[in-house]
Amino acid sequence: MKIVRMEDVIKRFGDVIALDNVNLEIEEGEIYGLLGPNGAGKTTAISIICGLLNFDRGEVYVFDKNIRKEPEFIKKNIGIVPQDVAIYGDLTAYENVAFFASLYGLKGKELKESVEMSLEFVGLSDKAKEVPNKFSGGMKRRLNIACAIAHRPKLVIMDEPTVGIDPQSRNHILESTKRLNEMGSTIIYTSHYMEEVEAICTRISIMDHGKVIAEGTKEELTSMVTDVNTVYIEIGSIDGIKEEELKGIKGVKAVEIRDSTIKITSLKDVGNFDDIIHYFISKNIPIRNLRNEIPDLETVFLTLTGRKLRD
Amino acid sequence: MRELFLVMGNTSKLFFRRKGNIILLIFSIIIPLFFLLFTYGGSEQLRIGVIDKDKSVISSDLINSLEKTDKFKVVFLKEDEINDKVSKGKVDSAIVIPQRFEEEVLKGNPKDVEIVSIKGEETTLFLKSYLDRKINVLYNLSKASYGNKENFYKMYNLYKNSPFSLKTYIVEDIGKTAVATTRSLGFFIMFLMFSTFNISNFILVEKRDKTFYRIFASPLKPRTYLVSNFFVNLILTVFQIAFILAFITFILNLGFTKATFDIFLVLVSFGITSIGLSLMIVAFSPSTSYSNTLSTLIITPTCMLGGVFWPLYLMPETLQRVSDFIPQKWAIDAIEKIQMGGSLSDVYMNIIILLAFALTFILLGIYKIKTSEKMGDFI
Repeated sequence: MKIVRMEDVIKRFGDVIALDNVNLEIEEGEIYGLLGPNGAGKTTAISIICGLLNFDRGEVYVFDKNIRKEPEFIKKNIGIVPQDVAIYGDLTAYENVAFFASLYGLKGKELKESVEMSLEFVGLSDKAKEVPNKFSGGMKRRLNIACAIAHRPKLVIMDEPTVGIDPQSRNHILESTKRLNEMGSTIIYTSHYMEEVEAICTRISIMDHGKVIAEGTKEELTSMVTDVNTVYIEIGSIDGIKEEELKGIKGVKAVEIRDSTIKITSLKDVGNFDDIIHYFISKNIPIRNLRNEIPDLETVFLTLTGRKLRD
Repeated sequence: MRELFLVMGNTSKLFFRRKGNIILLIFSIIIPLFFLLFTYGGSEQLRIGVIDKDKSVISSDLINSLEKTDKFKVVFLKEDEINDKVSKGKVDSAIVIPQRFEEEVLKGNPKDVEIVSIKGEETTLFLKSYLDRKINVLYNLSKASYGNKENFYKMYNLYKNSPFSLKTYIVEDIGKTAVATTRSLGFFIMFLMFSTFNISNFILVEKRDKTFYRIFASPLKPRTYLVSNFFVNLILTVFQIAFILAFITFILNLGFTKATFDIFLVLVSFGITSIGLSLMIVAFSPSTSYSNTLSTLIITPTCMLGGVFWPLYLMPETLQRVSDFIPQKWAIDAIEKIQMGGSLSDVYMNIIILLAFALTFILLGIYKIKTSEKMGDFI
């Protein structure tokens, strides 16, 4: 089942086009990454999916229901983790989660159990009676997540949930996201940290200037921008190495020898890794280090847009 | 309905968790009461400044008779001090007995005694009626003596020493407390406006803190949220009004015991107007800093123009006409009418005008919220 379907969606803010004919399809059970620099249109897209923003043209279906016709049903089944921490600093962690969960109809014992479960999920059970004003940035971010999941939504939207926090809290949030997904929630995860998206997302859309410029799995995206694979081999001495012999290996396109490191560029589709290793073993040349350079999403973004993600 | 109570509960909880809100709530009650107790509450006597330009027997007797009533404390002033002492509140009113007062009395044409006050008719009414009565006696004696000074004084001394002197029973003089309560309720009205704005401003505070975003991502209807804010505001407003009126009526035993409910209705009507105005300010403000500035710029000057701090008749006529468009004027006007013995039938038009203001403000606020790109997109 398609959890989200955006069809040719256009959203304007005055003269600025925030979303320009955006098409997205998100399957149930995915961790779907929306990657792009600030101002790319990620937050606008998810605000539309949540029913928080009107749009000028196109159609949006969430849980196979038209967002213009059945916003209440859709809202009831979505949990949103906003980019900015959206919690009451003067209410306790428990009160915060309880209030937001009760807006989704939870009450009584069910509410109590859900709140406790959510706080435990984000590792804040022992802080339930404390007010977030005294929390660290990471703890506030975790409470921000707890407030979004207590009503057990089918779709959890996380908008830059790790901005400005320590690595420990970041890892906790990434792990929590994966666990949430394992527990049955579909996740939309927006970030401009490509390493986060690479680490947890099953499929990724890259957005820029309000457009989806590429979409697919990480492998599909990287293969879009390069058809070669580069291996760096570090050896003790280059004596006995003949560049021509290396170039003779099937699929090798280029060889570059610098000091004790040899850079071999091969066609990606040709599996010649064994042949390259065998060449060094046959010449009794010990390999000190070996590194395979795979293009990352940063490279993909750079290639597609001509600028870095965090420019 | 459940959602309404849920959000109302949350708004109330947030209100009482923030110390600044509780301090404002307490101040809105305490400061007007302090004003009432310490500015006017010290003495039951009216301090009357006196300038006797005549210095005759009857002018001296007139002054002495004022003191004998126990309602006035006489303070002799120099002519150039009069405006200063009256405006600074050193005396409640001042009277000037003109030159040749005695001579004119004997001619059967007594000159009026000039009364100077800034506290309105409530204060001067009793003094004026007292002086009129005394001067009327002098006039009658003058007529009876056919302008003959010797005969006049014979009759005058008989009148003064008569064992059948007129015993005066003064019906409770509400003039002084009426002024005090009107002015302190004026202060209360100003604090009430800041207090209602403070609660309406929660909407912008929630926008600033992004909880607004989370609330509207839930299935909660925007109107439920706005109505809940209105009701919390109304409940706290009614509580403040009931508390201050109960304090004035039952603890201080002042003034309008029989009309407390009428004043309560007037103040609640004004409270609703104030909430409407606050919602409108919030709807027209993009941020909390903007709304805070806008509220101060609106509340303080309109309180001045609306006669909250001083009687309207002290202001130029043009400004008095402008005050017709200011809700505070209608509230103060209704309070003054009730203080002077009026009932609900005398102030129902004031209440209708106040509620019309409220409706206008609320409709303008809702229109702005619905049409605003920024806020409308969120609600």
